[in-house]
Amino acid sequence: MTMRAIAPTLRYVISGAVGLAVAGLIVTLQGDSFTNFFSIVYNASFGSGDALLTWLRWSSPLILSALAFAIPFRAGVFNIGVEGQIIAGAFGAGVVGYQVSLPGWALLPLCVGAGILCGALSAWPAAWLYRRFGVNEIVTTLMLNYIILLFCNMLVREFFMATLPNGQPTQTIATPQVYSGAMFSRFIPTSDANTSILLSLAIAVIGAAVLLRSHFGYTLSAVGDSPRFAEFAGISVNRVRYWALIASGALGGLIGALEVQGVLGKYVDGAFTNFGFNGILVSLIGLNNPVGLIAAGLFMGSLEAGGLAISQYTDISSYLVTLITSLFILIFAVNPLRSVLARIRVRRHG
Amino acid sequence: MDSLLAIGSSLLFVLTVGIHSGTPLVLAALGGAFSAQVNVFNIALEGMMLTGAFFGFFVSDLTHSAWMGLGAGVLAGVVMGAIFAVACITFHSDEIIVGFAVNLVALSLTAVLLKAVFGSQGSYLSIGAGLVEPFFSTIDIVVVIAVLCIGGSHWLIYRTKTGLRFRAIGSFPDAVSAAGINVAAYRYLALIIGGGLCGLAGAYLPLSGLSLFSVGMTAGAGFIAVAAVIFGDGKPLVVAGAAFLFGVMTAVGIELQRFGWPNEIVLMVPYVATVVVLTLKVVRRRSAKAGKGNAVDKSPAGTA
Repeated sequence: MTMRAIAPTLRYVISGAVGLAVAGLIVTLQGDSFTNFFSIVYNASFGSGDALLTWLRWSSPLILSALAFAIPFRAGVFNIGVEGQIIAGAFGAGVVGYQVSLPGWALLPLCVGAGILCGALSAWPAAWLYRRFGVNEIVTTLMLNYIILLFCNMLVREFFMATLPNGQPTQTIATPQVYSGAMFSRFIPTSDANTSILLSLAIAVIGAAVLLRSHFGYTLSAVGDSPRFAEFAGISVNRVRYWALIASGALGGLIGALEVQGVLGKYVDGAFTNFGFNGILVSLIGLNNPVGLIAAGLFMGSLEAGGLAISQYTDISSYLVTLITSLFILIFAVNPLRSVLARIRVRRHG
Repeated sequence: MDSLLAIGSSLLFVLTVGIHSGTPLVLAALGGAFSAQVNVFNIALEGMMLTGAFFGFFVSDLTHSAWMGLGAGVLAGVVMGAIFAVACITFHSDEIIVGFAVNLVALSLTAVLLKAVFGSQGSYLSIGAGLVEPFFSTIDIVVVIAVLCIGGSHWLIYRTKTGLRFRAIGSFPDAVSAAGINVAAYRYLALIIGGGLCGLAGAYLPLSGLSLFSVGMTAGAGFIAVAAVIFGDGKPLVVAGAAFLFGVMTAVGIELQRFGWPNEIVLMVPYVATVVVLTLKVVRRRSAKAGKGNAVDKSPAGTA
């Protein structure tokens, strides 16, 4: 193999090794064994049938969230507002789910639709400001995260607040439970895993196919890889990027809706933290490639499930898995190999 | 008369609480201003603050000295700033991605260490930690330091050779490089100063009032600071002013809630104001360009 072919693999190996080394150090210093740590993480996802379901339950929102980040990224724009769009989607699904009394076959898709709509709407200000004035979308999507969270919380507390049996509002900001017809059914009673996973995985596969094989997907990549060329070829760069941001928001909204309709049963303040941000990590680990991000999502999902098990069975914080992945991303983004390779190349040719 | 008194006490409350919650924002935003001056978009302020908060708390708990704690916070921030600088400047990595990774490393590392050192999952209340004691109302030594930092940053950026080079690097890095100045070294310096200020801002959180550290205790303060930096375009006086006002918003929010109004309206102000100011800036720049009679700008948007 040539250097060029080994390099990407080596990049993953080095990044992973650094993350694991730091984690190993912490685990050992705390007096636990590293092998024990690993077997817990492994068993949390692959130890039993239940575990497999848990693994898929955590993987599927991560994959969708990564896809939501990857779509505009491939078109050359950053949407770091998926976190907020998930909250908007959860708000839409949560409110419609308890306000509208309809049979399940109508209510369930209606709620999903409301979530998607709210997600897309919440991405719209950033998309519009970008298209109309060229305002930096990184800043606007970042700021919108907080604006949306506060806005949804405000609406819920003023108009849609859940009450306790004695009529007092609940401690945390939350809507009442949605009608059972709006909920996806669970595979088994003991696990949060539900049929929305199938929908997520189907959308992930369709999304991957669209990005890799369709006209739209090709247009996105053309705009992202070479905006000036795309412009000369008659593609409106701003228009494509606008729709990429809206589509990303819609996907974010879908994640929120599925979380509400699959697991939580209502909009709860603070219940959706980090799916949006972790999706960015997943997308980056998968090199923003649709197939890569599905694989990365399954990997991150197993870590997520493992983190919960670790805090249950050991004295180690569940954040240890986040530490491994964030160190992985840091080293991966830094890509130490690139400068080393560049130096070798200069030496050889210079 | 009664209502006048009520308004007066409300204003006093807003001011005192505003000083308390505005001080860390001002410090962190000044840190971000240094990055902005050398044209590095730093969204890692949150992570630098959080690291400063943990190590400040940890050292203060060990030594029972608030000064040692604040010093440790600054040092932790400096280390995070240096890591950010190595990734973005030496290795030319994407600032946004590295910023995100640094934030997550800070969040998870401090959570893991909290569990490892203090055996606590969510938060830990220290008994012996030295605290920063206020000497008048909510005014303590860190508030004084923050005010000095505002003046100091302005002086450093606009009145010294180093500051001139920072600003030159921000506008014309290639020209500065061609003039034989080590651009990377100055960027390192700016990011490390910024990290130190963020670390101090973070350490102030657990060491003022409750001696408590909780996982992710900065709770988005770093991003409010980012908003202030964008709002003030990296100019220390404007940035600090904005950060202080954003801190006051927290206090206004508490007061509004007391009267049964949703506090979210004012808590949204920093973010909405930042988006509005950024948009106005972009629009103004565009119309200035059009006014010069140049060809209409056809380049893809989003470069602002």
